[in-house]
Amino acid sequence: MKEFIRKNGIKVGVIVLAVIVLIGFGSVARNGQVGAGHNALGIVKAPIQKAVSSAVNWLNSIYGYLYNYDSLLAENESLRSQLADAQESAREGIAASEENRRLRELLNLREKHRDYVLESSKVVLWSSTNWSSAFTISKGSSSGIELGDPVITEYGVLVGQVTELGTSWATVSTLIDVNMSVGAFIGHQEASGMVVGDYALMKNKTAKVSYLADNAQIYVGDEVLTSGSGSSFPAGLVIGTLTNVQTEAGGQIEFGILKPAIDYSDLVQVFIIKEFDVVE
Amino acid sequence: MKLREYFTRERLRKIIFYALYIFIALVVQEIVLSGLRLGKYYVFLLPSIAVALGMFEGSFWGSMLALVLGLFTDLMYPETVIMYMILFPATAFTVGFLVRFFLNRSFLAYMGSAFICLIVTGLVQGLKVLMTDSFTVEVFVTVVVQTLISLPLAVLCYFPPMRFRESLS
Repeated sequence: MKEFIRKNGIKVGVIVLAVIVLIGFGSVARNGQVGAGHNALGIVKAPIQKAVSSAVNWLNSIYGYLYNYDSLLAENESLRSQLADAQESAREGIAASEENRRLRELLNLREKHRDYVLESSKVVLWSSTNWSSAFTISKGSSSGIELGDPVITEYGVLVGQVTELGTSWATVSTLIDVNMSVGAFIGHQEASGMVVGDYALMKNKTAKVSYLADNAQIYVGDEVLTSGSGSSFPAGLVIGTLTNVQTEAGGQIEFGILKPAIDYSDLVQVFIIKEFDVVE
Repeated sequence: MKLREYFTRERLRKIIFYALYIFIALVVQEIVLSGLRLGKYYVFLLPSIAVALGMFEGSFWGSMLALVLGLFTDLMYPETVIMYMILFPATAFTVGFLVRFFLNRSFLAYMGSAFICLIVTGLVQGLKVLMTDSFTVEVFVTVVVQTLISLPLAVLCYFPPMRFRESLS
């Protein structure tokens, strides 16, 4: 065999080449129709191609599942993180918008009361006791706040008074606290009296209007404002509305039940009046 | 006695354990329970802590630890000055005394002591309000409700010092 190829190799090669060229010519597509040889080759090749292609696709799908699963997991995690960031930004935007609204209202208040020197502060924590109504704010003496400073909302509604003071924190006792008392004018006739805390009423988030002046007439629905007496609170701050008028045991002395104009559960930010003009 | 001889490993473990126990109780009371209200009432956990301190550490050391607890409680609440600094050590001392001579350290004894101490604490708190305000039945309602809603959490205060004591013996 080797001897034959050695002697006749070139001749065999030329013959094989010629046959291939002839088959090729014979297989050239004529008007879209493949040649017989090409067609036969295709017929033999097709099922093998299909089998191989199926196997390759199957392997691809497994590989894709394994590879893409990790990348999809990573992408999912990334998207979750981006979503969390976007939600956080949205929440901050809403909080900033609310604070903006409160400060705009405060600006209106400042226009009306140019003598007020105000300090804003966030409500940090409510006191977890059944015996008083107080909360902690995030500013203290380092911001110029002093003991006894009145605390209001952006609408000029009285919230309470600073009763404890630290360097960077303070405790505010609310209007309904048992230890609070505020001089007040009640109704259109401006009957003078005192808004005092009462334990039973504090539990219902109300306070008592008592120590009314002689011959003072108070009615349900009367608005109660600070009188400014005692110089602890500026005059004209809204305290609340009378929801009931009763008489003490003995039937001689009248007192009112006051519903504060502020909903304490909604308090987020308060404003401390550091200075104000005392009107005698 | 040298410091090293006094502060044995067991004593150091006790100090660390009770420091954490009191710290966690204060954090739970001030931060966690301030956001948890049942109706109009807050849970008051700290008298149960004083009872546990007296029960498991005895009259003297229990009242010393309860003094620390009372100090921080008075700092937390604006309406009191030294009320809890007197009340909690007295509670712990009394419970320690009772445990030494009359009671055991069982869960039932603890819960009974915690119930009585919660009532006494509530009455002392209410007395302060009654002195500054007019007499009102609401004070006594608050004492009863505060006691009842604080008892379930008092259950949790028993097990850490009990388990710690068992681990030492």
